[in-house]
Amino acid sequence: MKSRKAALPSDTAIHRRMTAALCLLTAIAGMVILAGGILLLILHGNAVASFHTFMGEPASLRFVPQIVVGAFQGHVLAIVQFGILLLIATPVIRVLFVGVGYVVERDWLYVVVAVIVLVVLGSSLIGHKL
Amino acid sequence: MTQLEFAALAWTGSLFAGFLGSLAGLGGGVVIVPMLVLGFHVDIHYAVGASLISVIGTSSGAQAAQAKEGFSNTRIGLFLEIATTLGAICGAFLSTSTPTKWIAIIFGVVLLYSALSSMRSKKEAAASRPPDALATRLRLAGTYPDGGKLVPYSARRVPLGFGLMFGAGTLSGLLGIGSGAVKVLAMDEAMQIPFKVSTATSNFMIGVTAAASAGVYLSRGYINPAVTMPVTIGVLLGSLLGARILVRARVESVRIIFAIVIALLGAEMIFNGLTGKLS
Repeated sequence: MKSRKAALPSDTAIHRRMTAALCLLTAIAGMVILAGGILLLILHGNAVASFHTFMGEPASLRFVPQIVVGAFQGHVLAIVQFGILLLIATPVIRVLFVGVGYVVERDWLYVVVAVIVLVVLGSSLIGHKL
Repeated sequence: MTQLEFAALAWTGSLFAGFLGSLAGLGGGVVIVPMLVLGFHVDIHYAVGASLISVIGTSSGAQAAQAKEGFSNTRIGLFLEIATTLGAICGAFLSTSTPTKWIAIIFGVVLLYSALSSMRSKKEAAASRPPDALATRLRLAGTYPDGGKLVPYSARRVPLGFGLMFGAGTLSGLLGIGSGAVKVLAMDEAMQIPFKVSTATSNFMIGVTAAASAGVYLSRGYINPAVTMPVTIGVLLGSLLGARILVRARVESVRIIFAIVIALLGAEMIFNGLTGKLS
């Protein structure tokens, strides 16, 4: 991939740094989920597990602000959910990085494409009250 | 079953699924939902939610392993993500109104299709046809290294590929899978992108697609931390282990066994859906 035409953002030094950063974020997310999970099992490990009937999670485990607040207050389920949130954020941040890469390249068509994808992703996380 | 027992069993099962899935090149996501639903009697919505999160984890993990190869085409991936993310949100919304029975049947059909498509031998299509006008305008082209040479390629039939990607996204949101098989179909068959490029690009897209529907699942209360935690950790570790062992070639026998397992699970999902055992 030496020719100029092939020099997509996937080859630049920025991309390598981006990959490293996202790798780190994935690892952190995994560790938060694991830590929350261990706490959960220590506290509630002997409770009966029943996931057969769908009940829906409470609001405290459904929306971003409540999850973040809950996690920092030390609620174990919220900690697991916070780790899950970090994991969901990883691909979103990847699209953001890719979009910034196109801004640097002044490839406005693909800046627009990245913005559209980010808007769709953002709209899903904002919350749907149904 | 106590929470601890559930976590230990689900973790072990997911570890295996992630490990074998990455050896087979199919991803472990497809077996998570059948495992949770058929094996642990978890509600299918919780199972799909947990599977989605594990798919994001695997995709992010696989990217790290693949980053240096340079096959993936960011423009093609990003452009098609408009279709997959919109489809994913659509699928996530559909999942509330679709009866469990039908989710199980559709899931079974997709499993059977994935098993079939993984058995298909892959040959690169004969090279350069004249590029598509729309593909040229969107610059959906590139080169990939093959035997020391750079082989140019260009996407074709962009609207068809875009439409199929919307479908792939919908399935992903409805079933909580990466639907890599449908994504590769859209890029290989419809857009005639070389499979080395399409496979790598599909990996880039899977996480973004799953994140779109995961957002809806989370805000709807379908993501149960106690179910998701062991599954995600298990699949993540399993697929990382698999990627370590699998340095170069795919293990052919593992792929065949995995395809058979997937086909059997697909048949069982359809059977359970039809007989109404899951609702």
